[in-house]
Amino acid sequence: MKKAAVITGHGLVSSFGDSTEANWQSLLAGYIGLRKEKVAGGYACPVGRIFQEGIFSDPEFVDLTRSTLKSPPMGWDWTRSATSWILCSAKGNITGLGHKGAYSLADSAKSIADDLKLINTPTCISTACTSSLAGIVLAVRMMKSGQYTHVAVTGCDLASDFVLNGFNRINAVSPEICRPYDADRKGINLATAAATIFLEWRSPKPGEIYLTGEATSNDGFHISRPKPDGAGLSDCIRRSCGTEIPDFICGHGTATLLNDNMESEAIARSGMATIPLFSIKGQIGHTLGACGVLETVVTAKCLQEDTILSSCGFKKPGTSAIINVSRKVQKRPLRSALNLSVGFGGGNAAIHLTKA
Amino acid sequence: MHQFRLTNDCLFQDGSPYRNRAEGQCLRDFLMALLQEFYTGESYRFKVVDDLGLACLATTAVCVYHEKRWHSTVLEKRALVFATHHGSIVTDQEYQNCLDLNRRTSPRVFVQTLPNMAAGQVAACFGIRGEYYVLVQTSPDNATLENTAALTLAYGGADLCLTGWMEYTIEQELTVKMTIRYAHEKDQFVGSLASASIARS
Repeated sequence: MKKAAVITGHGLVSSFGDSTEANWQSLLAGYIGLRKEKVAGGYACPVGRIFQEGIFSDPEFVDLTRSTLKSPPMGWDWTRSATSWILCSAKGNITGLGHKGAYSLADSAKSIADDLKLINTPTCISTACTSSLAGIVLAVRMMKSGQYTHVAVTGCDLASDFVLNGFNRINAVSPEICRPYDADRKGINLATAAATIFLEWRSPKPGEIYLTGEATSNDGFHISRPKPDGAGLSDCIRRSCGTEIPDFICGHGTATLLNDNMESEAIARSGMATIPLFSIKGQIGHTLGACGVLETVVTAKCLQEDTILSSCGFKKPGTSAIINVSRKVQKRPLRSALNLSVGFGGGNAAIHLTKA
Repeated sequence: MHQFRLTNDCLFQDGSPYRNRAEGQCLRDFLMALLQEFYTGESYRFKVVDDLGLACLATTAVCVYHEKRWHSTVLEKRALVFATHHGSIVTDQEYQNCLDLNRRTSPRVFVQTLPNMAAGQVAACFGIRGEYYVLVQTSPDNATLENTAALTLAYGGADLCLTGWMEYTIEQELTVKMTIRYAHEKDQFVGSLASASIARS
């Protein structure tokens, strides 16, 4: 088999716990990791938090990122010249603002890379909510070029006051548990999370998950509104899938009116309206720049377990184009999947995953 | 290759003064005047953009103005790779101050705090619909920018790539540097078409 970017390991921390298995079991069981709280500005809304023992607050950005990197796959060597790391975030360590120089993503990355003894300078990407899926796309390109054989991609973002207040000001936050793709959706729920995916450039072994297509694009339309016809995301889908039709789609599904409509249009115009689609944001929340890697880990797990998840909160179809939103957990043989991300700034990203 | 350099007083083309800032004209008005002269796209609300976004838009307008190749390239084949350390730390700080003082802010201020907003504005304004990355670096690293542009041109289906460094620091220093790179005979060579830069001091 031809060489490809093979997923050989992952680390994940969300409100469901600090292991992929804990997150997977919670998603399967339909649990919701969001709790209502009063946030900055006096607004009450569900938020996904990672509570540390004895400390009633989210962990610090660098610690959270570091925790997903502590168990690389066997044989992973950070000190090799062909190993690299990409850190992705929408707002990075924004809670460090005011402590001069402490909050830049590049500074956070350097401190972690020094601990890892990474000899290459880490790459940092910040394209809002597409950050970490764009990171995976770039990682694949870095390996295709022959420069690297091992690349880890981490996404991390905090549901900080800064971010919660900001999304409230643009009326994008739902006061209730969010309902992606539903007719009565009222907006997003924000959540803290971090996730890392370890990629190796080699021939995949039977049962392994590898990337068969990847693309990013920009709508070239507006900084905070997606292009309603979904042309930009559709272009990404076309370039990542080629002529392949995936068995299911792990959608971006933020539960905002504009995003879910645009996503449905993009999926429909890509000829994938009948493909089962789900969003995990009704359970884990919107983890901003972390969602791309986090949802790639979940998508890979779905392929391994031959399971399509249900889209929690979805009851009544409510998108502008008709799409096939998954209402219950389905077991069936699966071979490939599509993962999507959309973000402020007009960004789109898509990756196509296949089981060997 | 055309080279433009923009200071707070003058736009130079290939070393010679091209447009001077009028006496008493503030930098923002000077940038707006450059946009009025060089921007050839559809109408865009430049005034709602913060200073970093405005500088990026003006620099890009100057950079692409004379490039026939840019204008003849389909939008989906135009890519963008920007790099920054903080984006606009001034806008971040302004937003944080409002939060600390429990003051309401315009919704657009939060959106402008995202490091990729200036890039998003440039993409929307100049019809860039291909690959799109915003890198965060400790200091301008041309090698990484060039490498990312080369990967984008080789594997991302792009024919042209606008690359740039942008920064707006707490000391109100504004830095923007743009270059248009292109793939010659697809995947073989990455050359440069035009470049433009702005620095407040």
